[in-house]
Amino acid sequence: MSAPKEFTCAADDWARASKEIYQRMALSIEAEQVRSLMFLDTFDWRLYRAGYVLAHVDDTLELSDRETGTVVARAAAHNGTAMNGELPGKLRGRLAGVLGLRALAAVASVDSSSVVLAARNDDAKTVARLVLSDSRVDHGGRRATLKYRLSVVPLRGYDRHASRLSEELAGTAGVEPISSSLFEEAVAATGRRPGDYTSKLSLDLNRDVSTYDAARLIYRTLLQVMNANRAGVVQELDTEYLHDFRVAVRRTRSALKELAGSLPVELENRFRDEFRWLGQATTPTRDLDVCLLEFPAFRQRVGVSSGDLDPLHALVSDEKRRAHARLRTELRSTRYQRLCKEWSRAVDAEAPSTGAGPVGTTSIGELADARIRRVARHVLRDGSRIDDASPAESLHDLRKRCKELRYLLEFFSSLYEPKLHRSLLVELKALQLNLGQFQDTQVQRHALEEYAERLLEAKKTPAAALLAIGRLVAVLEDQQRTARTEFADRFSEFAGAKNRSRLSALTEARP
Amino acid sequence: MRTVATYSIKGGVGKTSAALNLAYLAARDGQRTLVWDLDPQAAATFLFRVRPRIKGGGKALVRGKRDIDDAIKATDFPGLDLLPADFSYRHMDLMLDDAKRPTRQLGKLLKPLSLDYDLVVLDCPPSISLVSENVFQAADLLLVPLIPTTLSLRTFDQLLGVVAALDGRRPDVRAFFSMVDGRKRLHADIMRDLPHNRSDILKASVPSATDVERMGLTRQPVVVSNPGGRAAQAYTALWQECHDALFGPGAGTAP
Ligand SMILES: Nc1ncnc2c1ncn2[C@@H]1O[C@H](COP(=O)(O)OP(=O)(O)OP(=O)(O)O)[C@@H](O)[C@H]1O
Ligand SMILES: [Mg+2]
Repeated sequence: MSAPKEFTCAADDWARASKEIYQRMALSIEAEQVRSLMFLDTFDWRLYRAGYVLAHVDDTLELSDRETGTVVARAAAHNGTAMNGELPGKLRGRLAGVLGLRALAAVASVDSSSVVLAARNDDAKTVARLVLSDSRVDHGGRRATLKYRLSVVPLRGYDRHASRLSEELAGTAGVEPISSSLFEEAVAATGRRPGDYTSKLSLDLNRDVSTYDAARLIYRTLLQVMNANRAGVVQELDTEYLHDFRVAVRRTRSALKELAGSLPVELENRFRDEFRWLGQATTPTRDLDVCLLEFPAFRQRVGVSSGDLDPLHALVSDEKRRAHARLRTELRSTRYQRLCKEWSRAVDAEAPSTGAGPVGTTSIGELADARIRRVARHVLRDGSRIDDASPAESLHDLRKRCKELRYLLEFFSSLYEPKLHRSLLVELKALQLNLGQFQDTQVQRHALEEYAERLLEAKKTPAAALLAIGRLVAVLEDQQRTARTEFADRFSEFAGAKNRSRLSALTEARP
Repeated sequence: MRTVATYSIKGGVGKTSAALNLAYLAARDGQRTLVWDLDPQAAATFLFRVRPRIKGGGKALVRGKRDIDDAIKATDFPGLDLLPADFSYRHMDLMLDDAKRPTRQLGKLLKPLSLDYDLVVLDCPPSISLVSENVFQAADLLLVPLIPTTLSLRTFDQLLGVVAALDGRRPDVRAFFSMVDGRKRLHADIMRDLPHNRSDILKASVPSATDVERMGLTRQPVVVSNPGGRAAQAYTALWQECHDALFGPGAGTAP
């Protein structure tokens, strides 16, 4: 096997190491370079997960393969930022599917100064090069210096010399073969780890843990999600920060209900109110986000003269700005700060500020079984009572129940047989999708009707714009009807014998 | 991939000096460039500080028995590689003569390099031989240094005649004045009396300059050793014209 081509060396060790190397091999400075680069990814590391590294180097965006380091695409970057929509065409097409709704943000900025050292033969011909780079990482005011990185650059026709240089380096004390890429090191220097955030919940529990401990773990994890997303919500980097933030709030509220009594009752009551407040504070912005995200689809549905929706779009955008300003104020309020501080003390891992509640000593396995059985029973019961004559509210209520079941299954996934658990989630998601379509179209319809009223009052709105909204409402009504018709089938599938036996097997069969 | 050859029947007129400087300028513009030193005297190879030896000998290479890739050497300049000369090249005529189509053999050898290079510069020995016939077939542009004398102009016209009589593919032939001595009346007269419409004589001319002479000592293109000098400026202007002749006027430089 050939010697590695890349090495690291602590700056302090280099003085001695280089002396040793120079004794065995003549190296002379050929050039010096200064380079700045910025690594970009989404908050949830979508590029990293897809096997890419994206760097902004000088005026260029370079997309490379994470494993091999080879550049797979390159495009000129216009303005310092490379937000989702502003990615140069070539990269946008390639990455759209990976990025989804998420925006790109800087994960680490690196300033490197490099020295190119040349190894020369008796004719003073360069036969191999050694590039030594000294990099500094900047991130949100943090500054860190990385170890020196050394890379041997072979020259065509002179591979033997490069191998010799590599061997010399490998045999020098303090010089180590490289074990992580510049990207990984730079990210680590910012205090993060590639892939450290995902919107998926992954909790490691076992059945014998007390409900008191398990509940605190759940609450802590969810609070971390809220904290991690807060800045992105405030800065409105993309709509997913708020989405994930809200899911964490909703999961917390659901846990406060389903795991009631794991903490002292008065404390739970107080935080139930606090998290309801927080959830409500985020709702207007999220609804408007969803509406704006739907616009491309709206435009498609009303067809040709899609410009007719522009007055509506302007109104919704305006509303959204205002709602977001209110949300920002709430997230900076003392009420919010107190909530975070006190809640985090109450659910602390080592030194919680409160003791266990009335059911705190029950084992979480036992409680999880009971709660999943109960909520599943309610879903089955409520769903079977719904027929064509039932009011829309009954479907909304069922949707809430389904969400509760979903959260319970997600909190406790580590307690159950994985295959069974997965099949149940699949069935549940199908039902939730149908209920979601039904409710979302309804919420949108009502919102559109309200906006239409307001545009009408504003007088100067062109008739075409109102007509377009009318057409859109009709389309949504249609979709809602379809969802309603499909409900019966979806539900009977979920409530079928096969799934029922899965449900009972889940909470009875011990893995 | 385009191919330019610095060529002249006469020796010592500035072929190698031009080949080196132009190749360097092309590489600096971002063209992946290969110089093939076809001269057994190995001047270009020496100037790039590479050993004038091809592993396994020139014969196997020229006959296509050995992969050309293995013989290529990086120069000290990014994007600029060299296919070195070998002493055995003095028998290149005989080596070529053994090939199936003796006048097309060089072109055939160059073909597979088109993935790796944007430009090949052939530095030729001074002669008219089977090697030069091969060069005429392989090159897109024949670049001929002329020392401004009436005799050299006549020789150039003869060369044009030879090329025009070739079968099939013919290179574009352009001359440039080389080693121009401003103090020599003859040089000034010849250049002034040249008909203005001779598009086959390039506008840029290379002055006689000590920094070019010193290339044998510095072993660097003058564009590197003395970038502000008159010779460097002349080669830069010459490269611009060659670039246009090879890639079309106004064509951007390679990525
Ligand atoms: N513009 C110039 N000014 C001064 N000296 C020059 C100039 N061009 C070339 N020379 C010198 O003239 C000699 C021959 O130049 P060069 O090797 O470039 O010519 P050549 O045509 O390749 O020669 P050969 O036919 O031997 O291959 C060299 O010593 C070189 O330094
Ligand atoms: Mg020569």
